Amino acid sequence: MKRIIVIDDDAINNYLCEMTIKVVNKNVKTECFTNPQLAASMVINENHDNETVILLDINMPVMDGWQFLKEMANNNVDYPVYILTSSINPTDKSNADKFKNVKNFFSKPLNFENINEVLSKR
Amino acid sequence: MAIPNTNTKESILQNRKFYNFLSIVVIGICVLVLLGWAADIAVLKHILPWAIAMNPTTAVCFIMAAFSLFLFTSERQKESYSRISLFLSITILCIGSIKLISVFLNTDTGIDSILFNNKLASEITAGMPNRMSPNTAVGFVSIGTATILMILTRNSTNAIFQYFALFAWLLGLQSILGYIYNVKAFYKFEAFLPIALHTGVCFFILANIILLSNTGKGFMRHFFNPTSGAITVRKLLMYAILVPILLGLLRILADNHGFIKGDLGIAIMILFNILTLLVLIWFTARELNKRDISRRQTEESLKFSLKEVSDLKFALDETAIITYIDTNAIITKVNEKFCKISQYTSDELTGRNFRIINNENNQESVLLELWSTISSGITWRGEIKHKSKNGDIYWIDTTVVPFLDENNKPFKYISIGNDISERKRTEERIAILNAELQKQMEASLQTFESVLKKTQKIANLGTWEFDFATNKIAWSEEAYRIYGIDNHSKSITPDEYLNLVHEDDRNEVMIKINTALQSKSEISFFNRIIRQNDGYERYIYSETLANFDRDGNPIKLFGIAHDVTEVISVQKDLSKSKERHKELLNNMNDGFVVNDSEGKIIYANQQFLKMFDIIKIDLDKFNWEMVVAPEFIQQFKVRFIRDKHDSPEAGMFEFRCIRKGGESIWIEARVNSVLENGHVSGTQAVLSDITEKKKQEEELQKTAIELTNRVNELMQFNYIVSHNLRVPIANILGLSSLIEHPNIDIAEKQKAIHHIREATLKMDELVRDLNMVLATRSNINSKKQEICLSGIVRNIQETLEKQISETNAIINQEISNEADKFYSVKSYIESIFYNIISNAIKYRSGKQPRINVNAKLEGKIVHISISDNGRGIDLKKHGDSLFGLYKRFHFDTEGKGLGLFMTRIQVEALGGTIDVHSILNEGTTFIINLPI
Repeated sequence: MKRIIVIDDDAINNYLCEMTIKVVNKNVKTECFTNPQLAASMVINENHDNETVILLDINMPVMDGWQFLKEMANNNVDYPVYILTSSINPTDKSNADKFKNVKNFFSKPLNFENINEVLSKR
Repeated sequence: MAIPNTNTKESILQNRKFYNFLSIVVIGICVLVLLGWAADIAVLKHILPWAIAMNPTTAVCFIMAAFSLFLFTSERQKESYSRISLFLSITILCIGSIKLISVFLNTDTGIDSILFNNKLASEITAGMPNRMSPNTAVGFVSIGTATILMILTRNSTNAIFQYFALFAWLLGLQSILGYIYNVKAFYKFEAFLPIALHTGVCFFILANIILLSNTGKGFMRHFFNPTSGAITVRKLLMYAILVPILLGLLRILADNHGFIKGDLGIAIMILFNILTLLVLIWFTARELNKRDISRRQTEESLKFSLKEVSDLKFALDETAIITYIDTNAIITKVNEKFCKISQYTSDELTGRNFRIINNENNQESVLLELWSTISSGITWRGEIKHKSKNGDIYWIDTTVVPFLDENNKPFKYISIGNDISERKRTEERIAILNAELQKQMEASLQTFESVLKKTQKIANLGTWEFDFATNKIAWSEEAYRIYGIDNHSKSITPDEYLNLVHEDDRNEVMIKINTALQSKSEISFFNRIIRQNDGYERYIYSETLANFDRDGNPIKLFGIAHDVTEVISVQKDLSKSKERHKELLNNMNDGFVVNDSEGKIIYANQQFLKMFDIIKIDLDKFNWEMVVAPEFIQQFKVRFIRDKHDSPEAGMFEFRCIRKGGESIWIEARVNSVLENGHVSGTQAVLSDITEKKKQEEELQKTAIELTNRVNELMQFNYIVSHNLRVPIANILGLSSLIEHPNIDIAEKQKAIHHIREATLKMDELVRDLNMVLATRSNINSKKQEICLSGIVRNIQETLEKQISETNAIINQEISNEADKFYSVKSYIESIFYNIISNAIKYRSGKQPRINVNAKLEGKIVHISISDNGRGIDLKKHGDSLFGLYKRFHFDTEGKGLGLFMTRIQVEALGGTIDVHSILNEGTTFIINLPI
């Protein structure tokens, strides 16, 4: 069973993602985090599978998206990551390219095509 | 001579108040007489029972006469007073005259029977009723005439009135004596009525007033002169009158009582008279002799001091130069010595202004000072340069003494002087010798160190020497070569030299040479010439220095000339700017230096020495490595040190130097090679101080960096704002598309709508924030007012009361008086303090929150620090973004990351700075510096 982890400090966005995923595919398990640190400790400590995908926001307090990605890389977590942001800053996009497990860069809001793309890759 | 010691007596006799008193006595007597007539009191009318009564008209006349004299001798002298006096006197004269005429014509005019007519008839004397006596009439005529004349001649030396007064005086005295000795003839004339006793007394007193109030003229002055004769007369006079009267009276008394009879009495009286007079004369003679002796002594000593003065004068005349000057600065007298030294005759000097004999040069200020000193009454002393008739200069050490009159105003001056020309000449000679020695030393230093060394070492440095006496320029071999003159033995005139100078530069060259002559210092300049033999335009660097004779006239002008065409052409090639080129030519701030093949300086100009703050003698010890900044040493060596193996290329570069004091200067050097026989033998360079330019460049660069930072910050702001705005928009977009989806049930749809509302509210909040930020960034000046820091902190404590009581937070404030009140924007300060203090409570650690607010004033800056003991911030991790927009560092407390951003832009809007120190889990301190 496929699993999507949504990490964003904005609870509304997390709800939106959860509902959008549910609408597209009821069989996908969605886990949402508003605190990236909790998400990080979970993904680092769990057994890694081939079913999990991460939807990650960039601008977050305490730990931002980049720090989360570094944390993952440092702990050899190789879940594919899709950046989901409302940022239009071009440097964000170029920064994302430095991490090889970042698969794509989505602009908010998440739409059905995005979900299909995420699910098809996994 | 000696002042009379009868001073006090005289002062009484000549005191106006005394005359006034006498006048009042007369008036008093006559008023009493009139009273006697009115009330029939015999003693007032007669005095002596058997004597005749004073006629009332006589009494009135006396009152008028006495009043007339009272006015005339009163302290206050008025024209109207003398007019009244005159009128009264004329009246008296008229009455006297009318009476006299009536006596001669034997008629009764009735003038003396106007008053108390009825009572007069009952006063029978010698068978006649009381009338004015003819003696009295004569007395009034003389008193009246005397007073009239006295008033009319008061401003002249005419003293005829004194004789009239004397006559009245004698008349009065005669009547008094008549009554004393009972001699009828003395007071009764023939068959006429006698004169009354008090009438005689009144005449005597009035005559005395007239005589004594006019002691300055006529015969009276003989009595009152301050001479021994007058003193003697004054002394004796009183006795001469009183003694015989007294003795006579005694004799008559003795005779009447039968003690001494007839001739014996007369003999005794005469004997006593003689004795008394002898004693008086003896006393007076003794005093006179005393006076005489003391006078003679004074004369003696005076004569002696006169002799002494003339001796002194003689001695002074013999030794000093003496000039007498009047208050118009005209010489009135000179002594022989002065004539001798000035070579003028005494006649030539007297009557001329004293300035005329002074040397006209440089003396005007000294003479002005002299004149202003002595005309204010103060002795002047100084050295004055003179010029004699045949033009010789001599110096006089002069003392001018002003002689003052009683008003302390000078009325003449005497100048006493000594010839100090010899001393002056020696001094001048020493000064000239010193100057010459100095010049010699400098010249030898120059010739040996510079000229010789230069000409030997560098082939193309020319020297020249212009002689003012011959008007010729002597040039060195190299100078001929530089100016392109093939005939090396040809002597050059200044005009010929100027013809060689490029016509555009001729004026400038002349100005520079004149400057060298006037300032008496070394001057350097750049100019262009047209080389004579080939007509090429060349650039010449010149230095020139003149030497002078002791009068300050130039003797010779020395100079060096150096062909710097190659160096200049570097500049020309590199910077085509004509302005810069011109600036170079005129700019005397440029240093010029010649290095040998090892980089040692063999020639440097004044500007170069100034540039590096070294003196010429130290040039030998100069080493480029001492001044060139370490980072440029390598480059400098490559550019500056050249020998015959190097190619003679020209170039320009900039390098930094460090001056003696450690100060950095930037030099722009234009370097070229010095060629000797076609080989490079060193370098020459023109150096410009471009420190100022560099500074400006640096300043510009700083500004550019600052501007870039600002732009970056703005862009960042834009991204953040657009990002945060996009968050709720994206949410709304997503949620609304979700609602439309058919697979969503009603409950979820309602939830989505709720979220849309939330997102919309958030967006609204964002727009508000944005508005606030932008408002803060715009103008603030209009909102400044006096604020009170401690008050603001108290207000915030009240606002945060709930949080403070919930957490037991303690807020201490230590705000110095000077820092408490200042002008600022109140809302910003409130917001800044609110944000920081509320953050301190919000992000507290487990401990009881303690917040310290400190403020103090240092100069024009208020230092504020707000520290807490809260959780702290990991500055290593978040330091950069602490004050950023929408940055948050904690999850478990609410906040949107706007507070510190707002705080920062508010502090910056007030022109201040904000900084933070923090240790994780120990606390945070915000430091704010606000200019006031």
